[in-house]
Amino acid sequence: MSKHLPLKAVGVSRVYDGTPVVNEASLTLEPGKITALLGQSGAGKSTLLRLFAGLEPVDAGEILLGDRVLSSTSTHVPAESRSIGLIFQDFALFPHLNALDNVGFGLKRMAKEARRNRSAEWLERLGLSHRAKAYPHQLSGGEQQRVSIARALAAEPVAILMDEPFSGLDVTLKSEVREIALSAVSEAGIPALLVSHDASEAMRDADRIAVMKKGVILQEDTPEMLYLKPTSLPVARALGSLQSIARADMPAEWVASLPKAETYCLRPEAIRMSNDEGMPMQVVSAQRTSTIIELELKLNGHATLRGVGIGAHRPSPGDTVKVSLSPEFVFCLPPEAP
Amino acid sequence: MQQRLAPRLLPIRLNTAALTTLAAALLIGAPVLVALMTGLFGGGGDAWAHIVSTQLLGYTLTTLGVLFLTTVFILLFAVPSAWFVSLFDFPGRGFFEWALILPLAAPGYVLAYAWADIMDVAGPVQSFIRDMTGLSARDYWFPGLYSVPGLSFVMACALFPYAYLTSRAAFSNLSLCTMEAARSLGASPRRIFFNVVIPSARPAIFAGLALALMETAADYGAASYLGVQTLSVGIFRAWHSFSEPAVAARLAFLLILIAFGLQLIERQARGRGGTQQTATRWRTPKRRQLSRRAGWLVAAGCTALLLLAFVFPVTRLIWVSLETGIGQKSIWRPFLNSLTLALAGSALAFVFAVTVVIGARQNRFSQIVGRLAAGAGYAAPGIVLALGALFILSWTGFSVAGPAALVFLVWIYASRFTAAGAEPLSAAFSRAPASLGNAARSLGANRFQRLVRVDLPVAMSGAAAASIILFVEMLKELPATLMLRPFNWDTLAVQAHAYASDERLAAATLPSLLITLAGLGPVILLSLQLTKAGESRAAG
Amino acid sequence: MPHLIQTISCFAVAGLLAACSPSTPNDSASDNQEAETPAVEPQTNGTLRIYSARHYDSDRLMYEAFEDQTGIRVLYREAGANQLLETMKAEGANSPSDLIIASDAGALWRFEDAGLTQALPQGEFEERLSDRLLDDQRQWVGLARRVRGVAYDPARIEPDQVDEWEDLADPSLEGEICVRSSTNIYNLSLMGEMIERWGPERAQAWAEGVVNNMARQPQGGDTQQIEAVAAGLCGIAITNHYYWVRMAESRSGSLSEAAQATTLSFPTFGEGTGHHINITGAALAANATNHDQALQFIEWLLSPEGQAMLVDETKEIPVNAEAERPAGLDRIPEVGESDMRLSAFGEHQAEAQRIFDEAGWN
Repeated sequence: MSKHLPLKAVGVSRVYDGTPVVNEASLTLEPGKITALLGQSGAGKSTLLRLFAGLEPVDAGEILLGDRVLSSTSTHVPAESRSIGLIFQDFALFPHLNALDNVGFGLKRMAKEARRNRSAEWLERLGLSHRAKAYPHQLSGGEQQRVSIARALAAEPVAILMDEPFSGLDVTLKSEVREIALSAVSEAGIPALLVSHDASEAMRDADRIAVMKKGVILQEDTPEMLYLKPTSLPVARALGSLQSIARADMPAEWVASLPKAETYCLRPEAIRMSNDEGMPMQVVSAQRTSTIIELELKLNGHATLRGVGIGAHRPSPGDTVKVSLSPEFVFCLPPEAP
Repeated sequence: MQQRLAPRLLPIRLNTAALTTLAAALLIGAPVLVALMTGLFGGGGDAWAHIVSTQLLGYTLTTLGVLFLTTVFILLFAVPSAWFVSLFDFPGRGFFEWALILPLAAPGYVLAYAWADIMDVAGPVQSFIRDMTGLSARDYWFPGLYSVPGLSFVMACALFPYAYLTSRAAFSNLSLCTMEAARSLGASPRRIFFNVVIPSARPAIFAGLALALMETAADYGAASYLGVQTLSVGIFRAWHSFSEPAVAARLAFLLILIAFGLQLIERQARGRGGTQQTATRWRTPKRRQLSRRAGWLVAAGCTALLLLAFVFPVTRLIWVSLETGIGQKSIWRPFLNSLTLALAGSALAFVFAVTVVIGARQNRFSQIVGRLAAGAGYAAPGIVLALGALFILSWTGFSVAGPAALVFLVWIYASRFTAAGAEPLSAAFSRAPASLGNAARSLGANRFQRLVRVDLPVAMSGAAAASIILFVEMLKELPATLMLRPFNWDTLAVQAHAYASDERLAAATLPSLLITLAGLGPVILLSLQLTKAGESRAAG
Repeated sequence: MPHLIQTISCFAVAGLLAACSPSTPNDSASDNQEAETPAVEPQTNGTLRIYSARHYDSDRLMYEAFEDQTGIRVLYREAGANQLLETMKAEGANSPSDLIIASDAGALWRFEDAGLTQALPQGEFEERLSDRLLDDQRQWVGLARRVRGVAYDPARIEPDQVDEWEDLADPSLEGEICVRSSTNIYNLSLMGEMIERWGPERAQAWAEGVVNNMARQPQGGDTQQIEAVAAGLCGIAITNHYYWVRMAESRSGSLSEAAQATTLSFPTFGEGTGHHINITGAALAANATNHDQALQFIEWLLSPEGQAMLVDETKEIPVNAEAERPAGLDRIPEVGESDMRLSAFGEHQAEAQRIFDEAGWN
């Protein structure tokens, strides 16, 4: 799979009406790896995807495939010549073609028979052989998305870009489709970009995550590193929920085990209910979600603290429970610029 | 946000696109433009003053009266029938669903010939009344067809299918949820119909109505046969009796103004309605079974409509034709001429329509320019366009005798009917989301391939409808053909008109019936396709 | 669904193909040639381009017969007289027309008035014609005659109530008259003759009298007026003779019964005057390029054979006494000659329209 080249954005910008929507973003999509682009809506994720795809020209910087320049301020290889696969949230299947012909759309140069075989192969790989003759309106959402992935991959793209590919599906379908789809993408060994606003999805599906906000890529790393070692508050927030506690409100025993800072940012799992030892605290509320119990604890007169618990016993408000602190889930980050 | 920004990509290409549209728009608009310029700068002082002082108000009021009454008739014919056909089950529903489109095949003037004959003092209806009652023709009042209401009735018969089609589509796309919500809020069926259904279907109804009314305003054949002095007839008269083409062109201004007014009203209505369903999958309301009595009542209503608008007049023509024997002359030449001209014209108009619609999707400039040109062509009666073409012919020194006239005629057809084709096309295109185009690009399809492999096939149903409508409309076209056809190139429409206005209804029946027959095939095709599309959607 | 789409796309492709064919000059020319003149080599003796205001199946047979006999290829274009006139004006010097054929002297006069005709050269044809049928300026020549008269209900109307045009204005006929619109050239020419004979005041009084006697507002054509008489709506219909003849000869039982229920009569303009006799005529186009062929056609039309073909279907009256009269013409009363100048019809046209308008005759 060494023939696959990385797809790179080097300092690319895109400006609409004087406002940069993508601002000097640099990102490398490595072959065989799925890179998630995480951010809230309006962060510029989809625009960056469109810049990679060549659907829009860059206003600054370069898009490169290996060493070949795809976009710069002076050159622009049009989307149709880039051979970069695209997956859309709304599937974008051609309504006038059946599943098989949709997959075969990008194989125009092949002989008819070969094209048919190749398309059938891809449908099979995505578990859709039995739906080959079905038209898009006869397929379920999950099936439609699998057809669109087969369509993109069948064309042997040099990279694949997915724009919120699973958010149009309902939860039960999602995991099934995701599994089939992403393993097909990984097997293809090409650079893959997954645009998402859902941190848990990104962390589960991607090999690397880039966090984007207001057109800027804040940090790019493996999910693990990003979750545990965010370099900025927005990144930390993007990956999971966070609470800020002033140093003064923290129990003194805990402060001793932490670096020195004005405020601390804690993930909920930094505070864990334990059965035997730990600091006793009064429970304000306790709510069981599926796997864990989310706790709200009284810290002192005016502050509360969130924590988690695992176990059969759910404390009632007013109970006192013992909790411990895991310092690896506590970050000392500079406050966000306004 | 991205959609708004999309037009900014690649300014150079967009300019080419804009230029293409501009060129197409010029081709479409040139005949009207030339005619109107002649109207503005040509002479015609005395005749113009005479017409303004004596006839103008009459022409305008008559036209507005015809438009108003036609609207009333069309709404009465089209909306209830579409409502019952799309949402209820009753005896013969499946048949009426497609059969109610059939009147589209018969031109207004043919219906006028037939109905005038049926309703004449000596016609079957009045003879029957006299035989039954023993009254003399002077003893009773009978509605005359040679009047504004008569013309309106005939035009409504010929054109209501446009409104029927659009309202049917709107009714069968109604959201079940809104209707159920209304019901859960205690609304009676009556209230649901008037407060929920009609408002949400209004844009569609207006669209069909506007199309029909523009045809009505531009009609010459029926109005002149029935002696109703509409603006179109006035334009002919200004040209013929006063020998003032410039005055005729000036009158055409007024007609175009009315047509643009209609378009404006339609857009306005569309803007206010604004509940277009774009989801790819939707639930269609299940048809409700009507009670036995109500079912037969509705079936009887639909039958009556079909009889009035199609079966009676066509049967009468067949009867007259058989009674007097078929004429000696070969009818094949004009038949072939009609087909050839209509095919060539619809092909060109189709290309124009695609250019305009694609242009409109790309930038605002093209949208405005294209719409303006197509709208102007459609609003102008055939005679004005032909007038423009004649001026161009005489400037360029082409002989009207030769093939040049055919080319001009095809051009005029296209110029006249591009709007009729652009409408369904643009509706079909707008159903395709932008991501389709991007998906095709990512799979290596260039601009042209995208048009051919994605846009056109996706818009196929609309495109098919567009070409069929174009074909049928051109088959029926009369005034421009009358003026521009070269030597030995009579079409069926021209023959029918010539015979009918020469008081030889019997001779006019054969060409009239053949036009209807030639239009019937395409119309049935269209009808079946639209009906089928509706059903597969309902099933999917 | 896909099948249907295929069918439709085939249809569209066929349309595109067809679009290309008529624009090739050779194609359409050979097309015409094959279809219109199968018998002889048609181009051997040139071409004749006719603008005709007539629309009769028999005209095509007539053109074909002429082509067969002379080898002159005939191309024709049929439309209303006014429309032909305006088309020729718009075409200007480019006009391909050689010969104009139109019904009603008033219509021919309009062509002359617009400068679209030229004087006919001397020819044999003149010897077969009465002088009245050739225009003073030789701008047009009559080929067939037509008489405007009345068809009345013999049960209600006495023959002497309609033996003069003036009678129609008599108050005793109130509510009896059915007539078509005044914009029609037949009525304009009739009024033209009245103005010429009686002067405008008397003509105007006549128009007002007739308007007072109308059974209904003018509508429809002459045929409908005759039918209205047969149906009992009115007692008198003003009509050209051939409409009545065609109805009487019609294969449709109801039409022929309707005509035969009425009596056709040709009123005069008073003691010692004739009927209103009009013509179908021909004129040489101002920009004609094929003079000889046009003249040859006129000669042929005035021959007994041409005359017979010209009037066979129209039921007009031939101008050549030797020509065979069309079937059914024996049903009409004897028509004498008229001494009325034909160009008078056209000259008074504008005034005639004004008089009608003022009398309230739509």
